[in-house]
Amino acid sequence: MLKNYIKIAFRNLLKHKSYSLINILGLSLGIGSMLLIFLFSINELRYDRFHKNAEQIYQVYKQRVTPNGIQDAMDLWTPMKDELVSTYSGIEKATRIYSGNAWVEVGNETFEEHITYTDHELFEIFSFPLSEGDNAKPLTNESSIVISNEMAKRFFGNENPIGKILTLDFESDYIVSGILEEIPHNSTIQLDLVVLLSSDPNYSEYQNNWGSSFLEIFVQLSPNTNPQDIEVQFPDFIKRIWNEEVAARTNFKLLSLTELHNYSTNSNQIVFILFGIAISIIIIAVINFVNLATARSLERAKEVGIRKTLGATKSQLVKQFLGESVILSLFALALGYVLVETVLPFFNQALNTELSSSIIFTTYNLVPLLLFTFVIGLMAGIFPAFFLSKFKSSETLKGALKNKPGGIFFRKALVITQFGITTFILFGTFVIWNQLQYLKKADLGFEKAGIIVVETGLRDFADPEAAAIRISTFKNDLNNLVSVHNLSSSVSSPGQWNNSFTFAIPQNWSHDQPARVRFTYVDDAFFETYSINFLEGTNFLNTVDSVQFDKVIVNEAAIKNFGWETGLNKTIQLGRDRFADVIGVVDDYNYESLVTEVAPVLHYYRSSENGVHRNLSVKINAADIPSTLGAIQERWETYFPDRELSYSFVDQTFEQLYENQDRLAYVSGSFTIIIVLISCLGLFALTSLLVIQRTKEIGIRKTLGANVISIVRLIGLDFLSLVGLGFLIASPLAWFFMNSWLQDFAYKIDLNLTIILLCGTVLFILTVLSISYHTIKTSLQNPVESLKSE
Amino acid sequence: MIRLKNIDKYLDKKFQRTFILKDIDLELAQGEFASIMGPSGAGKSTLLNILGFLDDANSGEYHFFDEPVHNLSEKQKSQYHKSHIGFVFQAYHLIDELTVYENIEMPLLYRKVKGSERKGMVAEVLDRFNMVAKKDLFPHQLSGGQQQLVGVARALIGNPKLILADEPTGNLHSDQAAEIMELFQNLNNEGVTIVQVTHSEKMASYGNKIIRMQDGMLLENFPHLAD
Repeated sequence: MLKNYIKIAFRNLLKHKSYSLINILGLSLGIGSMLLIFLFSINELRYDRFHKNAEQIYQVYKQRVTPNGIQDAMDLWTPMKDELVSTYSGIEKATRIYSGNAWVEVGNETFEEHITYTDHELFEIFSFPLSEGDNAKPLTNESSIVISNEMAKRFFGNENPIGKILTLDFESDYIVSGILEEIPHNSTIQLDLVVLLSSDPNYSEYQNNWGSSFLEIFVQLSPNTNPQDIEVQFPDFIKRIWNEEVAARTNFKLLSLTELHNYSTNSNQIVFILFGIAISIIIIAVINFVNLATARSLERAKEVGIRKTLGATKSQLVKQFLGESVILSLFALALGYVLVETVLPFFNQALNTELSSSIIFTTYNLVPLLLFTFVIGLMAGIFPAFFLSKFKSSETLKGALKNKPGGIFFRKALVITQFGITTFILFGTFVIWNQLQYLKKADLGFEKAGIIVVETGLRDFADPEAAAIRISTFKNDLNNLVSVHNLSSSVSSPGQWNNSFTFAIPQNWSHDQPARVRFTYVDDAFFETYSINFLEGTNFLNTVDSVQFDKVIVNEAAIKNFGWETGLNKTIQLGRDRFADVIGVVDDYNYESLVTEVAPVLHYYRSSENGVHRNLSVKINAADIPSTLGAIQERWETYFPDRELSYSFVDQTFEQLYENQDRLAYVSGSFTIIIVLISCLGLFALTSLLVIQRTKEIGIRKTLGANVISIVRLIGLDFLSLVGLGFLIASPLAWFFMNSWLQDFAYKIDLNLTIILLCGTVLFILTVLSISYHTIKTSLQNPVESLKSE
Repeated sequence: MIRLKNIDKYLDKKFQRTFILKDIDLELAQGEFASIMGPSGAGKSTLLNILGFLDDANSGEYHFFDEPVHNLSEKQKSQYHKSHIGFVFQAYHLIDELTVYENIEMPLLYRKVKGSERKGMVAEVLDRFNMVAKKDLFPHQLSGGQQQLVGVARALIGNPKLILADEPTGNLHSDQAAEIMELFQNLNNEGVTIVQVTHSEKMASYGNKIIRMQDGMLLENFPHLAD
C-alpha cells in the first residue's frame, strides 16, 4: 500500500510540473534557509563553548558609576590577577591577556603580527591544544613563545619551528616552544603569537601599578562557586586596594565566557532576527503548499471518490495525503541541503564566518532535522488531507463539486497571513537598509573625504629616535606636495579612536563626583585637517608642548554634559592640583560609528613632533588621490626602505565600522528576496488554479458583454484586496517592531510614511506581476472555447 | 438481498423541501440483473448511490443482507465496499496516475491481500479480460471501451456480491457497449447481482428486471404516472 502511495505521489509530482516545482522550490528554499540559519545560529550560540571549562570561566570587568549612567570597561590592572587568586578561594586560576601588534624578526625578514601577552595559566583555563610542545605548560620561561600553525608556516615554511628563534619589537629574543592547533573560528580569543606578560622588558615598571589599567583578566571559578558570591565581596576588595571614594563609583563584575560573544557583538539579536526570518520562510512555503493543495482539490476529489468506493476509509486517505506531503518535504530537505552547499561559500564570505555543513551529519543534529522536516510535511499536509478526505464520493464522482472549490475562507486567510509576513519582512529590510545608508552617509561633523591616515607610531621602529627625525622630514616633504592641503599628527583619528579616559571635575561640579571623560592628544592642525568647526574660542597655537599644557579644547557634548552655557572662561580640574582652561569648543564630530552617541572629549595639545602621536592624517585633493598616494608611497620608501607604508582612507574606515549592520542588512536582504519570491510564486500558481476554475464564469460574463479590462479587474481586485489586507494588518506591527530596533542606535532615521508607501508600492507591483499572466490569459480566451468544455 | 422501505431523499432550501426520492419501496433478490430506467432527474443515480452506501437517505430503512444500512458506521460501510460491492461508472473513474495493472490491484490493497496472492488475482483478471498486453499502460492511453473494461475488472477483482453500474455504456459506442453488457450477463450467470442505471432499452434488455422511475418515485408503486 505504501508503495502505491509513493507511486501516486511521484506520478502526481511529475504530472503537475509547475505546481510541484513551486511547492518543492518553496519548501526547499524554506528548509534551505532554515538550515543555513541553523548553521549560523549554532555557530553564534556555541561561541567559546569548545573550552572544556567554559561554564566556569569568567571575565572580570569594571563598571564606572558616573552621573550619566554606568559604563562598562574591560581594562584592568596588572597586579590584580594575583590579588584576586589570593583573596578568593572560589577563584582557582586567573590569567591576564593583553593583545597588540608586534614586529617579528625572523632571520632577515620582518613581519607585523598580532601578539598576546599572557600568563601560563591561559593554557590551563582555556582549551587551546598544541600540536607540538608541552600541552600542560607550553610557556616554560620568559623566553618561550607559542605560535599558531599559520605563523609557523609563514615564518619557517616547512621546517620544524620548535627551538627556532624570533625577535620581537627589535629587542627580545624568544624560542619557539609550542605550536597551536587550529583554533575554532567561533572563539573570541584568537592566538597567533603567545608570550608571557612577564617577559615584556618593561614589565617591572608596571607589574605593581594599580594606577593604569590596560589588560583583560579571565578567571576560572571552582566548580561549586557562584559568581554572585564573589561579586558581592568586590566592594571590600576595592576599598582595600584603593579607598571608599573609589569603591563608591566602581564595581567589579564577572561576565561568563559563554555570554561574552553576545555581550560584545549583540549576536543574540541577529540570531533572533534570523530565526524569525527562517520561521517566516517556512510558514510562507507551507501556506503555498496548503493553498495549492486545496485549490487543486477538485482534481484530487475524483481520486478520493474512487478510493472510497473501493473501500478506503477516511483515515487511510488522510494517511495517504499526509504521506505525500511528508515525502515532498523530505524531497525539499534534500534539495535544500544542495542549495545550502551551493550558497555556503558566498554566505561565509559575506558574513566573514567559516560555517560548515558537515555538522548537519551528526546524529545530534540530523535526527531533530529529519523530525523537523517531518513536522513541516505534516503541517503542510494536515489541512488538505482532512479537507480532501472529507469529500463524499457520490458528489465528487458526479462532478457536483465543480462549482464550490472548497476552503475559500481558509485560503483567503492564509493568503492574508502570507502577505502580512511578507510586508513585515519587506518593511524591516527597508528600514535596515535605510538606517545603514543613513549611518554611512550621515554628516559626521567633519569632512571624511580625501583624508589618508598613515601609521607613524614610533614604537613600530627599531630605533625610535632616528625614526622620529625621518618622520619629521617625511612630513615636510608631504607638506611641499601641491595636492596635500593639510597634515596633522594625533594619537587617534576618527574611525580609529583609542579610548582613553581621565577623571575630570568640571567647574561648578562637586569634588566627590568626578566625571569620567575621554581625552586625546592632537596638534594644532587637527581641527582644520578634518574641517571641524569651532563654535567658540580658538584653536591651539603651534608652540612647544609645555606652553599649552594647561589648555584644553572640548566638544559640544562636553559643554552640554557639564551643564555649561558656554565653554569660555571655564576650567576643568584634572588631578589633585592640575587645572586646564577651556580655550575652545568644537562641533560634535563622530569619532566612532554612529551606533554610539558622541560623548564629551577633552583635546590636549601636543606638538606635531611629539612621539605620543601615532597617526598622520593627510588631507589631499580629492581629484588626485591615486597620484598623491603614489607620491606619498615614494617618499615613504626613500625614508623607510624596510617598512611598508601602512595607511587607510578615513571614509573607508568608517564604512568598515558598520560590519555588524552590514551583515544584518546583507542577510535580511537576501532572505527577503527569497520570501518575496516564494510568496509571489505561490500567488502565481494560486491564480492559475483559481482562474481555471472560473473559466466558465468568465466565459459567461464575456458572452453577456463584459470586456477584457472589466474581467481582469474582477479577478485582480480579488487578489489585490487580500494582499492589501495583509499589508494593512502587518505594517503597524512592522512599524512598531522596527521602531524598537532603531532605539539601539544613537543616530537613526525617522520612520515615516515614505517607507510604508515604498513598501506598499513594491508589494502592489509584485502582486500585479504575479497575478496578471494567468488573469489576462484567461480573460482573452474566446468564450466559445471555455463554454464548450462544459 | 436488498430491501428498501419508505426511502425518502430530499433537499431543504429555506421554506421549500425538494424531493429527489420519495417513498421508495424496493426488493432485489440475489442473482438478479436489474436496470433502473427513467428520464433525466428522475433520481436514478441517487437511488444507485444509496444502494451503494455512497449516499444516505433522509428517512426510511435499507437492509442489505438483513443488515440495517441506515445504522452502519463509516467504517462498516467501507468494509462492505471492500468485500461486497463493486462500482462501475459512466466516466470509468480510473485513477489517471496509475497503470491498468495498478488500478485493478487497488481494491486488493485496501483489503490487505498479500503481495503474492494479489499478483495471482490480478493476473487472472487481466487474462480473463484479454488485457495482459495493456497492463502497463495508463488510462489515457486506452480507448473508452478498454477503460471501461478496466473499470469492470477493477469492480470484479474483489469478488463482489453486488455490482452497481451507473450508465456503464453511456460513453461507449454500440459495439463496445454490447461487449460490456455481455460481460455483465456472464457475471450474472455466475451469480453476481447487478444493478445498472441506463437510458437505453437495449441495454436494459440484457437484464432480467426493469425498475422505472419518474420524479423520484418508482412507477410500479405509482402506476398512474406511467403514461
